Amino acid sequence: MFNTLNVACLALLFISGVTLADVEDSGLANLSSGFTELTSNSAEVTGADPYVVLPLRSNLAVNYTAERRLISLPLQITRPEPAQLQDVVSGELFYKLVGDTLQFDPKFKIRFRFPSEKFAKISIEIADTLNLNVDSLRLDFDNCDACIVSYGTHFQLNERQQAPTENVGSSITPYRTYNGVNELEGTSQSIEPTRWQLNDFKQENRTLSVNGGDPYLISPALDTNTDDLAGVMFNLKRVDQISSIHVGDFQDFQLFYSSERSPFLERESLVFRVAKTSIEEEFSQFKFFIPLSFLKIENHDVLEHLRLDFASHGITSSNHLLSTSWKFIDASLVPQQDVEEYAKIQPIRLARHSSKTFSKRRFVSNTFNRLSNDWGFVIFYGLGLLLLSYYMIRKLIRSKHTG
Amino acid sequence: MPFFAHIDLFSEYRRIFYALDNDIFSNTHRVVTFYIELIFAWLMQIFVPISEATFYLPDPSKSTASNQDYLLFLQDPYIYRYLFFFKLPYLLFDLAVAWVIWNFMDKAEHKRLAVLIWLFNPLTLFATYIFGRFEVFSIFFLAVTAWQLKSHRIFLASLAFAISLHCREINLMFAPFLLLAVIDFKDPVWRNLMVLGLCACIIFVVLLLPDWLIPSFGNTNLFVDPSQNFQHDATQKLFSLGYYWFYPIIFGLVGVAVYNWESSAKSHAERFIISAALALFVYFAFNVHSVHYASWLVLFPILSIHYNKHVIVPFLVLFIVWVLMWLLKTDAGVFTPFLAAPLSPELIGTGHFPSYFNEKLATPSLSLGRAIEIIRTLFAASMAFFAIRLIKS
Repeated sequence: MFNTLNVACLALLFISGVTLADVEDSGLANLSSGFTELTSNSAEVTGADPYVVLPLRSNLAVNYTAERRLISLPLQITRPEPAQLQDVVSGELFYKLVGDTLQFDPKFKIRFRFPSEKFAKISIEIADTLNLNVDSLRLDFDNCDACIVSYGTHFQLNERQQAPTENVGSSITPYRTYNGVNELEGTSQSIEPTRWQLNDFKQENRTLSVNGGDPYLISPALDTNTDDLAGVMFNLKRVDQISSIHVGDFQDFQLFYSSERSPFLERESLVFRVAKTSIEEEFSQFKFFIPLSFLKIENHDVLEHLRLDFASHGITSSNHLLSTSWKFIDASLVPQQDVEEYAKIQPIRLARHSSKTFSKRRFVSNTFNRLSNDWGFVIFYGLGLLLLSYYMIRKLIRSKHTG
Repeated sequence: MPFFAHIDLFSEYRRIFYALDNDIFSNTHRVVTFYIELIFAWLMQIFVPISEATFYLPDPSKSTASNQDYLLFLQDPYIYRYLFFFKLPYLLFDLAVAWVIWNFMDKAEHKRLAVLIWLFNPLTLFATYIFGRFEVFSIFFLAVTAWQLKSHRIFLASLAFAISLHCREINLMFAPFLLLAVIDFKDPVWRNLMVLGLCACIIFVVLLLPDWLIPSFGNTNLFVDPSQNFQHDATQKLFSLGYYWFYPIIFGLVGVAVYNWESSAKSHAERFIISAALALFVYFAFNVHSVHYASWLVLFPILSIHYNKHVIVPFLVLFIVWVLMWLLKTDAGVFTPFLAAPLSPELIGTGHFPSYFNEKLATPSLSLGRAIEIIRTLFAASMAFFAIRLIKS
C-alpha cells in the first residue's frame, strides 16, 4: 500500500515536470540489480549495492570547462517509514572508467550525503582540481534500504556562480573526493606529523600533552594504493615524568584504518604493545612498524586514513597516560621492498581485535597455528592425558574383574 | 585446562608477576590465595619463560585487565603453558579436597560417592578448569575445618577456618556457625566459654596476623584501588544494608543459627556442616552473583553424605538449574566461546545463548527477563529442596 501510494505521488510529480527539466532524451539510465524497477523512471531499492548509471547530456561532455563545477542530478528519494530513517542516505558518484572498459574506477569518486529534506534536484560541487571528462557517471546509494528513487535520464553540468537556483536544486559539498590514488612505487612516504589531527592532545612547541581520556591522532588523507603497501612506521618520543617501578617500559597503542570499503572500525583495529626503543635523557623513544599488508588480501584497495590511539592499561587506569607528553617525530608508509628492514621493529605483542565474521575453517587453522607455536607443551599435555586415561581405564577394568 | 580461561585468571597472575618482578612481598587481601599462587608462579618459571611485555602492569592499583590486555596476553606463544601452570595449584588443591573428603568419610560406599561427586561435578570443574578461579583453596581449608571438627580437634579446626578467611572473605559468614558448633551442651558453661573464647581468639589473631607480620605496600594494601574505600557507594550500601537481598539473607542466617543451637544432640562437625550448607542455600536463594561462586555450594552437602543425607537428586537438580540459569543470565565470560579464546581469539564476541533466545525463542509473554526470573525462582527452589534434604534426619 505504502509503495503504491508513493509511486503514484512520484508519477504525479514527474508528470507535472517538477523534477525533469533541461535534459535531452539521448540515452538511457541503467540500474543495478539492487533496484527493482517500478516505472520507466523510478525504482525501489530491494537488494545490495544499488546504483544507477546515467549518461551526461551529450554536448556537455564536450563543453566541460573550468567554470562548470556543479553536477546536477534530477533525482528524488522517498524513504520508507520515518521510524526507519536513522541513517543519512549517502551517495558515491564514480566519474572515471577503468581504461576502455565499462567498469568505473573506485579510485575516482565523490562521496556526499543527500540532504535530509525533500528535494527534486541536487547539485554536487566539484573540486577545482578535479578533471571531469567522461560521458557517464555512476551514482551509488548507501543506507537507502527500501527507498524509492526517481531519476531523470541524464546528468548535466552547470556553472557554479551563474546557475539559477531552480536548475541547480539543493547544492551539496562532498565530504570526500577521490582523485586517483597515491602509489608508493618502492619508496617510503613520510606523513608529515604537523598534518595529523589531534584529539585530547594539547600542542605546545611540537610537544603533544594528553589532556583528555581518549587521546589519538588522525592522519591526513593518504589515499594510498595498497598493492605495494607493507605497513606504517611511527617514531614517537615520550617525555618521561613517570617514576614508579618499571612503569613506562611499554606503551599500548591501537591503530584504526579506513579504506574505500570501510570507515574506522573497532573490531578491525589492531592493538599492540611496544617496548621502549631507547632512552635519551628525559625521553623514551618508541619507534615501531605495523604491518598492513593484510589490507590488500582483504580487498581494501585504497588506504584512506590511519588513526593512532594511545591506549591506557587496565580497565580504569588512564591516570598514568594523562600525565604524559609526546613528541611526534615521524611517520611513514613503508613499501613491500623495505619490509625486512622494518620487521625488526614490529611490536612485541600485536593482535587484531577480531575478524569480521567467524568462520569454522579459519577457526580450525587459527587453532592449529596457535598449537604449533608450542609443540613441546602440546605433546607433553597430550601424552599426560593419554597416560592418565590408560591408567584409569585399566583401574576400572581391574575393579570390575575383582568385583 | 590449558585451553580455556576467563580474563580474571590473567588479571590474577598479572598481579602475581608484578609482585615477583619487583620483589614486593607485602600485605594484600586474600593473602593465602595470593602467596600460594605466588609460590607456584615462582616455580613455573623453570618450565616457561615469563614475558615482561605480556604481564606488564604500570599501575598496581588498577590491576584488573582490560580486554585489550587480555587480547595481547592471548598472543603470547606460551599461552597454553601459562594456563596449565596457572591452574596447576588449583588441580593439586582439588585433589587435596578429594583426599580430605575421602578421609572424612567412614564408610567405603560414602567415600566413593562423595569423591565421585566432588571430582566430577560441573560446578567446580567449570569454576576451576574452565573459568580458572581459585575457589578451591578456600574450599580446601573449609574441608579441613570440618575434618578437624569431626576428629574433635577444635583448635586446629579454628586455625584452618581462619586460614580459609584469607582465601575468601565470604567465609566469615560461617564464623557464627563454627563458634556455635564448638559448644558442647554436656560441658559446664565455663568450659564452653573458655573453648569459645580460645577459638574466637585463634580466628581473630590469624585474621590479623598478616597485618602484623607482612609490611603494607605504601598507604594501602597492594593492588587495592585507593578510590574503593569506605566513601565508595558500594561500601556504604553494604554497611547500611542498601542491597535489597541483604534483609532476607540476614533473617535466613538467624534461622540457621537457631537451628544450630537447637541441634545440640548432634556432633560438632555435623552442626557446622549442615549450618554452613544451609547458610549457603539461604545466600544463593537471594543472590547468585557470578557463575563460579556456585562452586561454594558443593563441599558441605558432599560432607553431609557421612550423616546419611540423601543428596544425589538435589545435586542433579542443582546442576541442571545452574546450567539453565547461566545459559540465560550470561555475559561474555560465562557459557560463551569467550572462555575458549585461548584456542582462537576469533571466538571473542561470537555471541551467546541470550541473543539466540531473543531471536528464536522469546515470545511477548516470555521475554528473556521473564525467563531469567523464572529460572532464578527455580534455583531458589532447588536451594530449598537441598535444605530440606539436609535438615531431615
